[in-house]
Amino acid sequence: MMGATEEAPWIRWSLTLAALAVLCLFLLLPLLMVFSEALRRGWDVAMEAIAEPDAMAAVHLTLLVAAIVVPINTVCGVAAAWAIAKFEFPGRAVLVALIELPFSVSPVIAGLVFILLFGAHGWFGAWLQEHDVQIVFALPGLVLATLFVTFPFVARELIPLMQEQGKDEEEAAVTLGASGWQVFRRVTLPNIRWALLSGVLLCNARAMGEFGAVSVVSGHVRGETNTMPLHIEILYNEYQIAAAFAVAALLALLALVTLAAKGLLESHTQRRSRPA
Amino acid sequence: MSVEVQGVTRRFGSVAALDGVDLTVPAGSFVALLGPSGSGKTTLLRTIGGLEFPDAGTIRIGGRDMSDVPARQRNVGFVFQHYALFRHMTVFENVAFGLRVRPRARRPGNADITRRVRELLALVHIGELERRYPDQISGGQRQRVALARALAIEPSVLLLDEPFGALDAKVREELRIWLRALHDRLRLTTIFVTHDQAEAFALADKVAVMAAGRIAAFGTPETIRGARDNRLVAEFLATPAGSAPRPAEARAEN
Repeated sequence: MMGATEEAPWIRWSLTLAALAVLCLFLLLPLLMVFSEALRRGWDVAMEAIAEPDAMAAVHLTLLVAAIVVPINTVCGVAAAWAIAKFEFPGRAVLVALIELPFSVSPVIAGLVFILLFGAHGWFGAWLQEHDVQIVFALPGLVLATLFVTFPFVARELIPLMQEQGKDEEEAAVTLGASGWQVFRRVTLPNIRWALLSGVLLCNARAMGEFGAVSVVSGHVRGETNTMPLHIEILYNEYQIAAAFAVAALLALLALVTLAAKGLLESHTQRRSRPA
Repeated sequence: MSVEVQGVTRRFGSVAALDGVDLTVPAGSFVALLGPSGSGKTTLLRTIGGLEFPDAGTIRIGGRDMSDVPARQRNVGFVFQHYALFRHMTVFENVAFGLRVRPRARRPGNADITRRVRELLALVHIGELERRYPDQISGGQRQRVALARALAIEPSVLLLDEPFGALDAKVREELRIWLRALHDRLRLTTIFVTHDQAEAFALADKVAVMAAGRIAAFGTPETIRGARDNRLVAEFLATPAGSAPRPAEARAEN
C-alpha cells in the first residue's frame, strides 16, 4: 500500500535523479575541477605555488583573521541569542533585524561602510591618522569586515533552538541555587552545544572564504593584506592559472575539513537523540 | 517555615496579575491556590519563589523579608508544571544538581551526594531509574524526579505549579495520595497551584480561592464549601472549568 503522502515510484525516482544531477553538475563538478586544475601541471608545481612567500602570507593572514573573528563572534552570537531567546525587552525586534542585516546587505557595501568610517577621508579618518592607527588596508579592517559578514551564523543557529527550549530549565536551576554562570555552563550550554558547534564551524568556513567585504578593505598589498581568496583572484588575473587553482584547492580543502567536522557532529547528535 | 504574603501587587503592562494579595501560610501546612486560568495563582507562586518580582508588597519566609533575596538564595523547592528536568542529565544528575552547585564550603563530598540522591530516589520510589534520561521515562516518573530534585536542597518551603496537570487521571490520583502521604511524613510547608477543586479539597489543609488577582477566600475545604455566599467563590465553584481538569492546558498565567 502507498501512503497518502507518497508519490508514485517513477516520480520519486526521477525527482531524486534530477536533484542528484543538479548536485553533481553545480556542486561536485566545480569542486573536482578545482583539484584537477590544481594538479594538472603536477604535484610539485602546485606545492611550489602554495609554498611561495606571498601565498604563505595569505594563508597565515586568513587563518589569523579566522582565529580572531570566530571566537569573538561565538561569544557575541551566544550572548545575542541568549538575550533574544530568553528575555522580553524593548528593542528586541530591532536586535533580531540587526542580526540578519549582514545577510541582507551585500558584503561589498559592508566593506565600503568601513572605508567610509575608518578610511583616510572617513568619519574617524583624521582622528585615526593623528593617533597613528591604521584600520583600513590593514589587519584591523580585515577583522572588522569579516566580523560583520560572519556575525549572523552563530546567533541564527542558536535562536530558534533556544526559543524552543524556553527558560524553564534555567529557572529550575536558579531555584536549586545555581549562580548565573553555573546556569549557563551546566544547563544552557550543554543544551545548545551541538547547534553552537555547527554555527561556529559555519562561521569559520565563511570567515576563511569571505571575499567581497574583505576585498574592499584589504587594499591588496601582496604578502601583507591579501587573504587567500584575494590572493587567488590576483593569481588568476595574472594568468597564473595553475598557482591560482593550487591555492584555491587548499582553501577548498580547509572548507571541506570544516564541513566534514560538521557532518561528524551531526551524526553524533542523531546517535545521541534517544527514543522517547 | 511559614510564608507570609502582604499586599503583593504585580502588573504585566496594564493588567494586574496580582492585586494586593494577602496570605499567611503557617509552617508545616499544605495549602492549595485554587482558581481559574488568569486568576494569578501561578504568578503568586512564582513571586513567592523569587522568579517574579512584586511591584508592591512583601513576601516573608520564616519571618524573613525576601525583598532582597534572589531566587537562588531563597532555598525554596519549586516543581514546575512541565517539570523542567535537565534534558541532558540522567535522573541521578538531575537530583544531584542542587547539591553540586553549592559553594565549595557547603558542598557535600561525592560519596555523600551519591548517598543522598539514592535516598531521595528511594523516597519517591524511582530508585531503579537513576541512569535514565528524562525523555526515557513516563510523565508520572518525571514528576517524581522533579520532586526529588526540589527536595534535594532541603527546602524550607515546597512550591508546586499544577503538579498533576499534565498527567492522566489514574496516575494523577495515585500521585495525589502519595504526595499527601509524603507531606504528612516530612511536614514541609507546601503550596500548590491547581484549577481543579476536587484536587484542592482532597489534598489541602487550607484552600485559597483566587480570582482576578485577589484572594477571594481562604480557609479549610469545609469553610470554603460553606462560603458560597461569597460571589467570586460561588462563581468559580459553579463553573465546570473549576471541576473538570484540563491536562493539556498551557501555563496560562504567563
